[in-house]
Amino acid sequence: MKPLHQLGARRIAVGVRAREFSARDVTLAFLARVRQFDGTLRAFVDLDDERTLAAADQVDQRLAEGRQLGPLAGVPVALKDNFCQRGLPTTCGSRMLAAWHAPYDADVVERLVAADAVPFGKTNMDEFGMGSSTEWSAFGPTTNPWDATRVPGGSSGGSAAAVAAGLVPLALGSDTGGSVRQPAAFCGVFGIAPSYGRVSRRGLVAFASSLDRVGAFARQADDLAALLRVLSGGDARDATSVHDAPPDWRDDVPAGVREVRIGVLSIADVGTVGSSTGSSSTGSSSTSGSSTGVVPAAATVTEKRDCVETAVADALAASRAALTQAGATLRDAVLPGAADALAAYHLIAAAEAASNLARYDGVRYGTRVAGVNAETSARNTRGEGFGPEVQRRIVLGTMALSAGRRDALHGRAEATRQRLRTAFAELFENVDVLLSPTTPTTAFALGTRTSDPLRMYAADVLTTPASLAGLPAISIPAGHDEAGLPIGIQAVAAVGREDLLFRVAGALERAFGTPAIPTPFIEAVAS
Amino acid sequence: MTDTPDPEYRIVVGLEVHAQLRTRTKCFCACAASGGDGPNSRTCPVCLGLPGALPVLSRAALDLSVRAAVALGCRIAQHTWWDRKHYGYADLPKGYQITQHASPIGTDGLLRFEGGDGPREVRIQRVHLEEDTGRSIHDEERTRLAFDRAGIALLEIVTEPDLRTSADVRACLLAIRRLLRWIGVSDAEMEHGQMRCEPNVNLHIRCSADAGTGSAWTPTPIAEIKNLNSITAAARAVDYEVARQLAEWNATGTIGPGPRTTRGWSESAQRTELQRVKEEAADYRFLPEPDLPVVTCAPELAEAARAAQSELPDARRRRYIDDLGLPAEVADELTQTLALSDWFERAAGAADAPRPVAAWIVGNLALVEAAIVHRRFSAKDLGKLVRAVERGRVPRAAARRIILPEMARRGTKWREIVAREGLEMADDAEVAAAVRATVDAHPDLVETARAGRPQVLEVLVGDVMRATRGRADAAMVRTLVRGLVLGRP
Repeated sequence: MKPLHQLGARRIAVGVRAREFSARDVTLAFLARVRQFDGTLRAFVDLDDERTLAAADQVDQRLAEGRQLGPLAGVPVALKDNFCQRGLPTTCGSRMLAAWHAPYDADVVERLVAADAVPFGKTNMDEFGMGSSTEWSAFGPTTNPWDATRVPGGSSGGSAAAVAAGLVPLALGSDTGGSVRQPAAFCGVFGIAPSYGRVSRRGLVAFASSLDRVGAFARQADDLAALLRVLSGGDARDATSVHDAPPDWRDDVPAGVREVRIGVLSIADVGTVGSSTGSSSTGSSSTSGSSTGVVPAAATVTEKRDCVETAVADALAASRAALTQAGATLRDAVLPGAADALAAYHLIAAAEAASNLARYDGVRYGTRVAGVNAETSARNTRGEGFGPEVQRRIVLGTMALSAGRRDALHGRAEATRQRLRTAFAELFENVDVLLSPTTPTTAFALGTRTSDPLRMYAADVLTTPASLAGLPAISIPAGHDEAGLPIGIQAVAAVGREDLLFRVAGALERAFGTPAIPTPFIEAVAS
Repeated sequence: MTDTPDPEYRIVVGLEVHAQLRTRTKCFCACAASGGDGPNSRTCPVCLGLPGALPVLSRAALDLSVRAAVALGCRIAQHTWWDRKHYGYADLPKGYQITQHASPIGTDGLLRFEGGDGPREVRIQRVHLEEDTGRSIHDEERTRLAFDRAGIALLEIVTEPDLRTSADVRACLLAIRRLLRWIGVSDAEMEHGQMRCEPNVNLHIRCSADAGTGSAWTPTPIAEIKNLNSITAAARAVDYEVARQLAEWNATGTIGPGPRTTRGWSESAQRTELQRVKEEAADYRFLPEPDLPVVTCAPELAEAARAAQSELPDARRRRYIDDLGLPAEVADELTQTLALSDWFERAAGAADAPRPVAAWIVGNLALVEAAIVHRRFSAKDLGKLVRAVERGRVPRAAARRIILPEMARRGTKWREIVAREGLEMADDAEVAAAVRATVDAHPDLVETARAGRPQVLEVLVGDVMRATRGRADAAMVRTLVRGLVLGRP
């Protein structure tokens, strides 16, 4: 038998249920890998061996009592550090919550435990989800498992890196503008952001409530389907959750793509193919008269777009060929308004973030910095507790909602979002799935974009449209560039049609192969 | 006092009223809305605004809000949602209050009420549902925070500035309180903080010399008055504020529209004190609450509320006066609460005589209200008793002095008391015998009467009434006595 860490999640669950190995054995194997490899990767911000083993023992105990175990029996699942788990620190990558312990479980944590999974520590992230590289964590960056000089993407970089390196079979992330899909692409794993409302947000610390989605990572499409099914379902305590019973997507992974109509996004909508960066003019007719140009920053966002790298364009072409080969109908597709998505996304997300983060004043919980009175203390707390990117977004978001600017900023951004929803709806009358790269480039080097926020934001240009429309979207590993860095292909479907995403993911997994664990992480664990 | 005569002016007052809805839980979480065991015992991650916690709208709070908006004659919003109103204060857990800014549940309503000297109307600008904040408790050394009130469902009612006297302000607040209790949406006890009101007060002063605006009426700056803990205090504060603004006008002679101010009512000093001047409207940066879906079922709920709505107090009061012929004060009294009014109607039905029943209830209000609460006797019991009295079967005095008090004290049925005490009206033979016996016992008085002073016979009438323990009709006794002694009625 392969070493435990090389088994997929479903295989592990089968093994635990069949008493081939215990949940404790599995947890011990992964704990050993974290101990061995996380020094350089720094994917985890909190992982307590004793508590994690205790959770595994409970699964073994239930099995010993003769109970029927759930679909994730004994499978370790890491949580991004913005999910509340009772009694555990939940830092959101921020000094503000460095010492805050959640007093309750997130809905997804309850569901994981009910499925007999083993909650496996908390992973690193950009502060409150704001970032695309995990460099904005107050606790230092996570590195990319394929190249330690590169970023893992973000904001769910810790979860993506941990899964890619085989330190944990499954992990949860959250996706506001691409925070699951983009790191999945950079780290070479599957990452899904399901339809808005499919998974409860209760216990996910809010960044931008109308955009936040619980997402998930796995190295195999069928494992991802199994995990998403466990996470999904209505929650009476999240008014935005959808109460449809989730289908069993595991059957969709092997179902193939025959007759599936797939539109391939015209690259001209988002940038040009090339190797230089920063000079792309979109030339899209949809830029004029819409939200770009509303503020100088928005115009600059457009100018600072990345070009789609040749290797990425090639991977898209290879995916197209593979899907055609598998029986799908492929055609070119355009998405009017896609070029405006990034600016609209940043205004909406910042406005909601400024609102959601207003509660962190040090009065009731979290870090408190003294001041001569309550007001000064709150100001000092926020000045020291929040990092630079979070402060930047709060300033932008506060401005976007302020009297006199509100209509021109937040109002127009919401109008752009509405147009984009309409554009998607029209597109999905003719195709079932929209295919594009997940990101224009592969993982960039650590330290290259933190001083240039607009370049950082550009990494999300292809993921924000689906975010604004609340559509399910998946990043699928599709090979590597010349430097060996993974490339991700994104598939987007209409609300509720995750089944189509899993069919495409299954087809491309068969074409490109299940992602391997990168070389530095494949040596066998001693003992 | 200045020697300048007061200018011609009119008082302009609008009200903002907050009422705590009668819901079991808070507005957006499952915490109890009342009770609890000390400060911060009624809190949870949602109402404390902990990271990751999400609000879920209480269906009961929505129902009650719609009911109130319907009763206030409002137009009901097809789409209604909540907004985040941002401001920073230590007892505001999330840094924003969940309220309704752009889409109140109800707009454009009207409330009719009885003013100081006649019927009045006040237009209702808006009715919306929002959450309460926590409380800061300051002492010399520190400020303590309690979040038991945070997240409690509040109904906000905003009137147009249609009130012109402090008596009308008082009457309007009484009418709002009565209506909210009547339809069961709030207990509206101001002393328990279940109802709060903030009058907005200013004067429009006749000022022919104002060439600047070309308007004959110049408004004084609007003052919003806070810290009012009773309706009486509200009326007094308006009186005080009117006098203060007038004095300020008289002193300066030129104040025109200025910044709005917030003034606090000091109960001990009986005056309003400046709290802050709003140079410009605070920027609350309203954001549609993304955690709560838009509600589209308000019109349906309103339809149901309309169907279930009982006659409202003002309409009922009118009907009592116009159709039942009750005096206005009696009609007022009977329409204070739905329970009393309904009780009256049941009693009146059983008696088949609304006016005497109304008089009985208003004349014995404390007894009746206790009876309603403690269920000592039913409306039907009282109605039947009144009917028996009206038909001359039970002595009125006995009913008032003996029967009703015992019904209220012990819950005894009135027929039982009548039978036990032998309180049925005496029959003709018994009355005649009593008259004869009394007359025979007082030859001296008979003589005096016959000698030209018939008024002394009233003594004999009184004796007969005592002898029959009130069970005879006094007028009939008088006729009999006079007939017997004088040979004529």
